[in-house]
Amino acid sequence: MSSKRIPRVGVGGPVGSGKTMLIEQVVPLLAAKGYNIGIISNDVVSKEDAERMRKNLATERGLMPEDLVIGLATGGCPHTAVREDPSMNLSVVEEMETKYGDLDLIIIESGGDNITTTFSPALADYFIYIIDVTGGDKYPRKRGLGIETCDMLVINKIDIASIVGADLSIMERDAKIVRGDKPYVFVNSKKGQGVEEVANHITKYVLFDQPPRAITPRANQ
Amino acid sequence: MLTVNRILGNIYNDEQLNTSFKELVSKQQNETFLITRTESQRQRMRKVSNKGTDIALSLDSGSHHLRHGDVLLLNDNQIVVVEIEPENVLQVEISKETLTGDADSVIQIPVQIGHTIGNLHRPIKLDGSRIYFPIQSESEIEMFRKLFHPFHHHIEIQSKKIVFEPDENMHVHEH
Repeated sequence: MSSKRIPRVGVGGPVGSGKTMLIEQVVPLLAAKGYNIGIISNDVVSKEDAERMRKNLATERGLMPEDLVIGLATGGCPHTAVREDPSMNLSVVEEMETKYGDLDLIIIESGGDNITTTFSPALADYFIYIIDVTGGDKYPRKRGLGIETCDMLVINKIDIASIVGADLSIMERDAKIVRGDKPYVFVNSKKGQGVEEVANHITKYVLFDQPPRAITPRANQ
Repeated sequence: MLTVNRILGNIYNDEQLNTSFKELVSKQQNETFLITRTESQRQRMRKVSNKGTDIALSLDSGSHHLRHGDVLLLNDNQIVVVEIEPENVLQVEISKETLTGDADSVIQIPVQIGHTIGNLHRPIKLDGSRIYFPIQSESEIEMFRKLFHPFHHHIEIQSKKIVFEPDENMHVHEH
């Protein structure tokens, strides 16, 4: 492979936990620092998430070219497309590497799945797992590979914790027990609260705090 | 931040590196880059060594997995070596009687064991009549004992904590 390898972040989590919205919040923060980003969005049947992100991030805000938001309808179990056989995703990654060699980052969203979702290390360099408070405050201590092994655990929808009877201090305590020193962050993706910390982790641990590859930000095409 | 783009070799199969390693260990100038088995398959990550060196690892596409003992940095007064965190595994040992017994048991027992482990998507390491595979929690010991029960008199099961490096091509995903 002659093209340069572009760093990749995987985002996984249950259906409705806020994967797409988290990406919609994180991308503008990274784009503001001058980073050029591509997105691959896996879904089981539809390509709705990809279409929404393309409209919100590319068409309306011009943060990336429209063809840098790719939707994949994977069928079957979503985790198979990002772990057991990531070939479909890898071929899109390689296509982006060939066509857009100056990209700084590719974000790969898994289809909504169960708590054992993880990404193949061949596909993602960094793995964010997102859950939300509506599953109850027992969620972190029930473990599961995604929650335990991800590089960053994001707990979303904290604004409605009291409405659904979820105690954030219990979730925090259990996240520490289950994850040791590995980071977790509480967010409210709707309002963008806590999302900057996610962007900062990506900047440090995936982009190595290096400046964007392209000197000038990409204009809307 | 120190950027590492290639592995210099492995202290367990390169005599020269092994000698340098021992020398620097005797002067307490060795550092450890501790990773999990999953991380060993990554090509890009940033971590701090046990002595605080900030290391950004960025290997080429198609690079081999990181191995226990890989050297990331070597100079006159510093060596940084990869260590893979020990993890909980089950060791299944097939009895001598089974392996020297009739053709049925020689073939069927190992195949059944392999089928059972494969059904749970575990990578394996083989060592003579022993099979090692990782477990995710204590409760899995009981589960595997139940699964192996139909042929329990052919095997001995022990749980251990070891640096687990799967045999090549036996890297499998886990649920």
